[in-house]
Formats: sequence, structure tokens, C-alpha cells
Amino acid sequence: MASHRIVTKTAASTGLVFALLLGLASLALADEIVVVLKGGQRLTVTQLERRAGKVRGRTVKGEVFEIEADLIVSPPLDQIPEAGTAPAAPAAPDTLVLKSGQRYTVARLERRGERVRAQLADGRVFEVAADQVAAPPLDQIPAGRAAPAAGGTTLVLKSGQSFPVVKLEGRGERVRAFTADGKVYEFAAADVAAPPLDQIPGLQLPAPTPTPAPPTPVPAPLPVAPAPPAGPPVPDFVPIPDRWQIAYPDYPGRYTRGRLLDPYNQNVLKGDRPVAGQSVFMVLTGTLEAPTELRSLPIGSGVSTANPAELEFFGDGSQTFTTPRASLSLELFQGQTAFRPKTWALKATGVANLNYLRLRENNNVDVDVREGRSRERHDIALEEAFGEVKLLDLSHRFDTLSLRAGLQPFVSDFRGLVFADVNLGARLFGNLHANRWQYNAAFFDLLEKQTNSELNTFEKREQQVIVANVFRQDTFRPGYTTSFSFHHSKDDATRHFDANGFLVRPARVGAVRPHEVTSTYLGWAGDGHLGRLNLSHAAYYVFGTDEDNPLAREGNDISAGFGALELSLDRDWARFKVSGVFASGDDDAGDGQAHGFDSIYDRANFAGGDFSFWTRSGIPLTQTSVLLKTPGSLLPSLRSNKFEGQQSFVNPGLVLVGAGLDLDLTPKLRFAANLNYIRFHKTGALELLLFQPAIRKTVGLDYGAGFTWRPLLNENVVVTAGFTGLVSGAGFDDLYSSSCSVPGCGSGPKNLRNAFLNLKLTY
Amino acid sequence: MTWSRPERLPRRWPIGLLAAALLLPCASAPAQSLTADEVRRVVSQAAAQAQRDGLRAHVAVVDAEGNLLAIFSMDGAPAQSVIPGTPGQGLEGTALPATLAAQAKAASGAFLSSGGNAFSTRTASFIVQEHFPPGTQDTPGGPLFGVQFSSLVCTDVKQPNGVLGLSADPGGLPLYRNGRVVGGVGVEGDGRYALDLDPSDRDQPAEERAATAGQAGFAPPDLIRAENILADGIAIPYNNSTAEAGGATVAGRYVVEPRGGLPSAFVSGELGGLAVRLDPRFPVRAGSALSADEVRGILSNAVRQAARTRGAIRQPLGSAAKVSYAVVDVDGRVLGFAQDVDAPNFGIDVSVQKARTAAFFSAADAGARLRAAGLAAYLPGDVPLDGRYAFTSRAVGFLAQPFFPPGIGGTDPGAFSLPFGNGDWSVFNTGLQLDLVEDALRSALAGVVPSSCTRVPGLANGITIFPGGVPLYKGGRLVGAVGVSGDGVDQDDLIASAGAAGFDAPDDKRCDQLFVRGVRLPYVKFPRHPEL
Repeated sequence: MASHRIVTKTAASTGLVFALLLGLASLALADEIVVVLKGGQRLTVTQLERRAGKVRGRTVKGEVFEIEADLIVSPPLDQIPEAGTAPAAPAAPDTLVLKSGQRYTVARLERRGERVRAQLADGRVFEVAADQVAAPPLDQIPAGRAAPAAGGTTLVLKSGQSFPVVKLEGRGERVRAFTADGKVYEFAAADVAAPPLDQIPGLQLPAPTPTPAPPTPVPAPLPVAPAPPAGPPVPDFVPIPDRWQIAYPDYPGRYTRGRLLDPYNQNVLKGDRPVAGQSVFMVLTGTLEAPTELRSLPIGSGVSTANPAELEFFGDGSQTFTTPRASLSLELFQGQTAFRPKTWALKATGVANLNYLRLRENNNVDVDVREGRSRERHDIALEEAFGEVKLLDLSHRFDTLSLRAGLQPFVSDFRGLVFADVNLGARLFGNLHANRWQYNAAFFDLLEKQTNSELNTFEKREQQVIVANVFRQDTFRPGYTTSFSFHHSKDDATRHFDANGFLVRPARVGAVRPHEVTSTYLGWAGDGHLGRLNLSHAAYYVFGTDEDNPLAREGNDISAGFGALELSLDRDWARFKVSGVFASGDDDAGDGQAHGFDSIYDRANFAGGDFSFWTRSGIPLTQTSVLLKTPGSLLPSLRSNKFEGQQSFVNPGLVLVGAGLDLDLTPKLRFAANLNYIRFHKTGALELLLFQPAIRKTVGLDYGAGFTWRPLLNENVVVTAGFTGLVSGAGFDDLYSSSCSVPGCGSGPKNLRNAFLNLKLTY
Repeated sequence: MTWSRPERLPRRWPIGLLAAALLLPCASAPAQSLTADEVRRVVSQAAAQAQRDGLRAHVAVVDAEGNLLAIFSMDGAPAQSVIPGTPGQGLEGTALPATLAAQAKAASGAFLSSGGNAFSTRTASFIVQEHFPPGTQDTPGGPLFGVQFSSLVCTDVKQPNGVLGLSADPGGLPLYRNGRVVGGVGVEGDGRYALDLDPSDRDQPAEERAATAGQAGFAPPDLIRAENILADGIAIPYNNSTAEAGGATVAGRYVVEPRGGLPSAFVSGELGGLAVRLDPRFPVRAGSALSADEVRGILSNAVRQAARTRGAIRQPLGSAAKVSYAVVDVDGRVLGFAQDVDAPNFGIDVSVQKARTAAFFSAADAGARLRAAGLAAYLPGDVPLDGRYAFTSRAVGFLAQPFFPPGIGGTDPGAFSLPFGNGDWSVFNTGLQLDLVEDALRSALAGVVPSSCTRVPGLANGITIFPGGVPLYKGGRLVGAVGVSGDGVDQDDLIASAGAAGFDAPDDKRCDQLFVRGVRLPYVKFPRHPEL
């Protein structure tokens, strides 16, 4: 389902934990038959059939075995179907309803004394006490055979207890009972109520006497048998209220019983057992993370400088940035397990964020120089809050149509290249044709973001986005999914200052006038593999109008394109990748046409993603109030701010070719490395904006490497660390260096780096 | 220089100015000058548009140097224009002869423009307000904050001048021929001598429409119009208006009869191996502590730096900066002056103002001189004006904005400015800068042009409160200052600093050692990637 592509990091880790739990649960819940052998061994099998005096079975692990039929104590041989023959068709399936409310469709039903024996369609047999049966009426249940020759029967004691036995035999005045699990018990014949004593072979009863017999001492148990239990033996089939109550067997070292504080094993707080009824679940997810960066970026020293004698334009770009955040998410949903879509769901996520930035220069953390060199902000946000309801079942294969409304995450393609956000909207989504088709139709009326934490506020952004997309699994070849998409964004003409006091809408460049930007994207993307070759690609064309483009200083028509391709090969534990990205650029701001490609809100996981300096970093275009590129984006789009700023289709565009390597060094440790060569496509827009001629095109060599470490082999503890950088090229140096002969003036090429560390803990 | 009230002139002084101009040696006008017929054409086009728009206006035309070439007053045009605001707050509420307003607008169009940039009075309005762009809260003042009080009628430097200074009231445009500035046209007739407080509303005032019509045939190349010039990424407006072509018979009369443009009083010269224009009135000379060679060296270094500095306001991209250079003595006397060919002429007066500003505020008796002039209100305790610190015109400007730190709303004004919140501050009431020259302006409006714009010795043509003036030191002792004006202000700082090389203020004397209300003062600031 397409909604599974919505992957915030939290959701991903929660999802994985949840999926693992569901997997364990489903293992325990598979249809199983217990086979008891004469030696007392028990085998749990999923299939059992008779073949010419032998019984062949398949264990839950999939192993097939064959043994002599007479070694089997239980189930009775007559209940093991003959190979190649269908089980005897029941005359008419019936429904057994217990007083506890459970219903079973049974193939055969018969009364055996005080018990009712039911055979399910798959041949499994179980018995329940007759007084537990609500329907059909007992008198409509035919009586079973009085005493099966070799099959099981029920021993009923005068005390009222009853239990199934596979064999009864008399020994003197005592009755010896063999149970299905291989245990042997003895009772005084006088205690037996049923079957009639004359049907128990080998019983030697004394002649009846008119006078009561002297009390007979109870003999000691036979040495061959264990002592009889205080109560009756546990039957093979115990009716329980629902499948969620099936606990793991008490088998130390093999199964871990869940605890509330343990998110990884079975836990009612993680949706492993219902909290109400049989299908309403709750999932509580908490995360703590602390992304921290030590980085250097180009920075202006400003007018009122941090230190005396800072006459040069560029300052010391070393920075420390950390943005720890805690989130708590609660989801309540009605549903079943992995495949069946939720009937309904309610989810809310609250986030508390602290972000701290420390620079070496003034005039950057805030519009007011008195704020100095560091900025600390605390933001609290309701990041997600949505309701979801399944509208329609479209087939018996769980193809459904659902509606989700509220603050919700959404990524519109495989790699987040055009729209990836958590925001306010309504989305119809679902699948068709056994999940081969997946689709979304979404409308977002965006909320403003908090400037420093990028968390949602309750203020309207005055921008609407419509997305419609369709995914087709197994197009051309199994394992390759293709997708077509339509995006439309209308960003109204508004005026907005960010939380640090800077004008971000309209951007404080060019003709600083509020302007509406309307853009429509047509896209084709694909993801998957063709044979051994992994493939991910995307192509977009965007058209529209910018009512009053800041750099064009007039309205212009948008017409821009984007293409991205990543190919990779897996060789054992290594993956080798090559990738290319093209985003068209604009060379002439004033020609009435905007040819620079910009996304709506991209969070590009491409060409290295977080392990690429270029993608990861927000790089200011010093001397202006815009960024060369926003953090998490591939595109040098000259926006004032990723979320609060507007799309800007007069921009230099990008040509990128790269190679990467992913190594699964150990199951816990993954290494990734990446190298990209980046050029601007056209530099005319930069030349106008910076009033600088002949800006060259080479951005430089973008490199990065890092580790992802999962010490517990799950997503509950994840440590990510890496180092990225940019060896600047001629074009980048044109932007970010100064050749100058006046004392105190001049600045060399910038050596840009970013070392990052993140510890993420998820409950 | 001492303040003395000159005798009252026998006639209204514009007429006197005209007479003086006519007495100049009557050399033949250079080929690029406007002819009298062209001046008539400009006037007629402008007046016809005004008539179509129902505006009764005065149309003035000046040449590139600011010589008045014509004033035409349409019948019924209001004789006066009033500066909006509260009477008593600076120049607010002052009534001006509308012909002077038209002349100031024409001169502003001519002075602010060059072969690389066409600026208008609308442009001026955009770059002199308390925020940049105007109306954008929490941004510092415009790059030419305070330039309105330069090229004043009382200046000892720029002759001819803008009379009222530079105008920010839309309706003043430059005139071009073959890509060169040949003059300016100014239209005044709505009775208000104001500025454009909202640059985003695309208003087309009738005055600007008339000036646009007047400019027909003398328009600048599109490339150099201000909106194609981005200052720190921000496009500057040039002209919102469109106008119909064609003249018409308009009732009115020429207050100043049309004539052709006059030759410049500047002469060609050479400094640092590069061609410059020199003003014969300001030959290079020795000062109290600087030798003539040192002055020439300072100017030469600056000229050479300008030639390798990329102009921030000149198209096509990659043109070298073209500026005016001045070196002054500690007492404000001009020790040398030069101007690049095609530098905008507003920089003539401003370069000297900048140098004088730096020299004055760095002097040991600066505070005393201000106090003596009755300006003690502008002497805060935390800005020592006693020679301990070297001040640049950037630092003075930093302290001369209605917010401190500049632009930040809700703050008290800088030491040399007035509070913004209660309506005190406006571009017509800037604080110390205006108070220094206000009496002289009022006197001139009353018909008496004083020989100095201020009563404060050393500041004969007023002060500039934006960057480009750097004090000069020898052995830790103040010996004068250098001022550069005509390009981006950071470029001006860079070029002035290149001139000052070898005469730098000691690091520990520079005003960037000084904190005012917790904010470090700037000294100079260089541009990003400045050189060609």
C-alpha cells in the first residue's frame, strides 16, 4: 500500500518493531496439529496424512517426516486422512456455538457422554464439555459411537469429571486409562461412570454380593505410570476466548515473554494484543534522538562583528548545531495483522524539540545582532493528528479504499523528490488487483512550520497542494514498480517573517513583492530491480506561473525539468551504486521564462542522502537573504527558507554524477560512502542575484562516509555517524571566496565539512 | 570656517544662480550635451503628459553637472510644495518653492545616474529610508541612508548642486543620449514634496508620468535601469510609470528660458596612471600633516583600487567601480579631489562629506565643537567623541539611524538620530545630520544662501551617514580623512581603505573596539568577492 511509503524515521522503526511482533504472533497462530508418539514425543505439524501403514507429516519448520502408523498414539489414525483422498465430506457443515461466544464451522459434531466432539473442516478434532455448548441444541447433536474399537473415547468418572482417553483396559478391579499424551492412569472400577464397565476389556469384577464389600485399600500406582494428577489431565484442545490469549509456551531461552517496558517483544502497548474487543489495538511510540553536527559553512561576518578588525566579508564558518527531540505518538486502530488494512485509526504525535546553534560570527542567528552568536529555541508541536477510515472493500484480497484526514506524513514518490512533508490534508488511498496497484489522491492545505525545528504550527501557510499518484507493482518484470504522479501547488502571495526575524515571504531578493506561485508537476518514477540490477529513477516536468518572480522582477512562466537515475548492484554484503541527477537551470531571469527546477518540498534520499554534504547541508548564498540550497534538498533553488520560503524557479539548476557504496559489514553495522561531482546547469540567475559576472559552473566534489550501527539488531537503538565535505570547484569559489589586495580583505576557497552524530532511541 | 550670515541677496536667489551661470565662460557645449531645442522638447513632452493627467506642474531640466537648463511653469501650477509631516519636526511642514522642488528632482536624476546606472528620485526614495527595502521591519536603513542632505545649496563643494539636496519624491529622471547622462528632468506639481513609503504598490503618480514623457527620446538603455541593478540581491526600482508619446500646446511660461547644456568645469587628469576628472578648485595640496605627495598617493591608491573593484551598481556586470575621491585635512579643508570618468555626480559632494565626517568625529575636539554648536543633545556618554577613537562614516551612520542597532524595531534611536516610534524621525528630520544644516537650508529658502551649510567648523557641506569615509593617521595621530562615493557602500569602504593604506588608524583606536548598548560599532566592511 502506498501509505507504507510514508516513512518518517520514527514510523519506520516503529513499523519494523511492529512487523516483527506480528511475525512472531503469526507463527504462534498457524494451524497446528500435535502428534503424540508412543515414546511420549510430541511433534507439532501442519500436515498429516496416512500412506500405506505409515504416516507422513510436515512440521511447522517445513521438515517432512514419515513414521510407522502404529507408533502414533494421537491423533487417532482414523482421523488422519489417507493420502490422495479428500477427508470424508461431512454431510452438512454445521456451526458450533459455545456459551463463551466463539463460533466454529464444523464438519462433524457428535455427543460423547457429557462432552461434545467437533471435527473441523481441516480434520482437527476437539471436545468441549456439553454444558458449554450454546448451539445447536444438545438433542440435535447425534450421539457418537459407544466405544470405538481403537479410537479414542471419553472416560467419565462418578465424580463428574471426564476426559478423553485413547484406550481403556481392565486390570483386576481397576481400570487403566491411556491418554493421548502418553500418560497412563488407573482408577477403581467402582469410580467409573462411563463407558459401561462391561465394555472395558479385561476387567475382572467380583461377583456382586448383597453385603457391601469390605473396604479395599487403594493400591499404589503401578510402577510403569506416573502418579495420576490431582485433577483431570489437560485436554489437547482448550477453548480460549481469542487467539490473542495464546501465550508463548514456558520454554526458557527460546521465547521471551513480553513486558510493558519491552517494545520489542509481545506488548499490548505496541499493538500486539487488542486493548478492546478482539481487534482494537493501541500503539504507543516514543523516540528520543539528538542529531548533532559540527560543520563549516560559508558565512558573512556582518556589520557589527563578533570580533574587532573583522573587515573581510567572510567570517569563520565553524558551527555547532544540535537539535534533540522527543516525540510521543499514540495510535488507536481497529484492524487485524499485517495485510488487512485498518478499519479505522486515530493517531496523534507530539514533539518537543530543543535546537541549539552556535556560530563564530554575529548577524546570523537572528535579525537582531544583540542576539550574538548562538541561538537556543524550544518548540513543542502537535506533529501528527489524523483519523483514518476504510471506506470500501474492493476485493476479497484486502484491496480497499481508505481516507485519512488531518496532520499526516506523506511522501509523494519513492525518494521524496517533489513533496515530502507532514502536514494538514485529506488523502484518499488504497489499492487494487491484489495490491498490484496502489494510489493516492491528496489535498493539503499546508500549515506554517516553526523556523528552527521545522515542526508544524497551527498557522496557515496559505499554500495548497494537490497530489495524485498511482503505483503499479511488477511492471514489465516482477520486482519493479513504476509510478505516475501529478502534483499541483498554489502558493499565495503572502508576507511572512520567520521566527528569527528575517523576511522569508516574499524572499528578500530582487523585487521584494508578495507574489503567488502556481506550479503543476507531471512525473514518472520507478523503483525496484530488473534482474540483478537495482534501479530507481524519476523524471518530472513542471509548468506554471510565478506572478511576480523576485529575480525576474515580473511575472514569468515556469517550464523546467528534472531527471534522476540510480543504478546499483548487490554483491554479497556490498552494494555498488551510481547515480545521476539533472535539474534544469535558468540563465536569463528577465526573459519571461523560468527554467530552473524547484520542488514543492523535497527531502531527497538520493545520491548519498544524508551521507552527502550537498544534500544534507543548507548553504546560505552569502550577501543575499536566500539560501543557495536548503537542507535535505538536492536543488540549488535560491529559496529563503525550505518551508517558509516560496518555490523559486529562477535558479541555477544542477548536474550531478555520483558513485556510492553500501557495505553491510556486520548485521549490526552498515557503512556507506558516497562521492558526487556537481555542477550548476546555468549560472545566469546567480550572476544577476550576486551582481557578479562569469560565475563558473563547477560546484565541486561532494563526499561523505558514515556508519549506521544497530547494536540490538533492531530499530530501537540506532547510532548514525559520519563525515561529509565539499572540495569546492571554480564556480563555488566564485561565490564563496574573495581575492582582494587591501589589507584585511580577501578570503580563500572554503573547505566545507560536516561531522555528524545521531543517537536515536525508539520505544 | 565660521558661520556668518551673508548679506541678503538683492534678488530671489535662483535667479541669481542663473545669472551666475550665465557669467561662466561661454565655451561651446560638448557634443553630448543637450541642446536648447532638446531641452524644449523634454519640457514640452513632460508638460503635455501632465496636461493629459490634469496635473499643473513645473518642469525643470538640468544638465549632467546640474546646471539649470529650463524651468517651465504650467498655468495654475502651485507655487509651493509642502514637505508632509508635523511642522516643527525638522523640515516637515516646510513650504518650498515648487520650481526648486522640480529642479532638485531633475538634479537628483542627473546626479545619481551614470553610464552604468540609471537612478531616479524613486530610486533615491528606496535607498534612504529607515528600512531596506522600505517597510521591511527589522532591516537596517537603505544603503544611501541620509544622502538627501548632500549637494545642498549651501555646499562649498558641488557647484552647481541640487539646491534642496537630493530628492526622493518620484518625478525626477535622468536624461541620456547614446548611453551617457546628459541631464535630468524633474516635475513638481502635486503640492507635496515627499517620498514613496510603499515601494510595492506600483503607483504611477502624475509627476512621474510627466517626467517619463519628458524623458522620451532620452531614456537610458534598459540594461542600466535601476531595477536591473541588485544591491545585496535586492532590485532597486527605477520608474513605475508609463506615458504617452507626443507633445501638445500647453499653457504656461518658461521661468528659466531653455538653453543648451554647459561644459563641465572639471578637467581631465591622471592619477595612479589612470585617467580621472579633476576639479580645478581642489588641486592636490599639502595639509597640516599630510604632504601633497602623500595626498596624491592616497588618491592614486584609491583610484587604482577602484579600477580593479567590480562596481556594485553598474551594468553591464563586471564594470569597474566609478567613484569620486576626496582627501580632507583635520579641519575639513579639501586637500585633493578626483573623480573617475562617468562616476555619478552625487559622489562629488558626498565624498567630501564622508571624508569630513570621518575626520570630524575622530578629532579630539569633536564633542566640544558639537556642544559649542548647541548640539549637545547628540553627545551620549557611551560614544566618546574626544579623539580616543577613530570613526568612519560607516560608524557615524550606524549611530545615526532611528533604531539601534539599525533597523531593529522597538529600540531607542542611535545616538545621532531621533526616535522613530512617535513620529519624530523621518527622512526630513534625521537628527544630528539635519540639525547641522537646517538653519542654512531655511536661510537659503528665505533667499539668503550661507557660505557654509553648518556652524560647526570642519563640516562645511554637512555630513554623510553611510560608509565610505575613513580617517587617516600618522604615528597614531589624526591627519585627515579620505572619502569615496559613487558605488556600493562596501565598495566605497574598500576603495577608501586602499587609499588609507599606510595611514591606517591604529587597531586599538578604531571604533570597532567600542561597544554601544552592547553592540560593537563597525569600522569598515569590505564587499564579497570585490575584485574583477
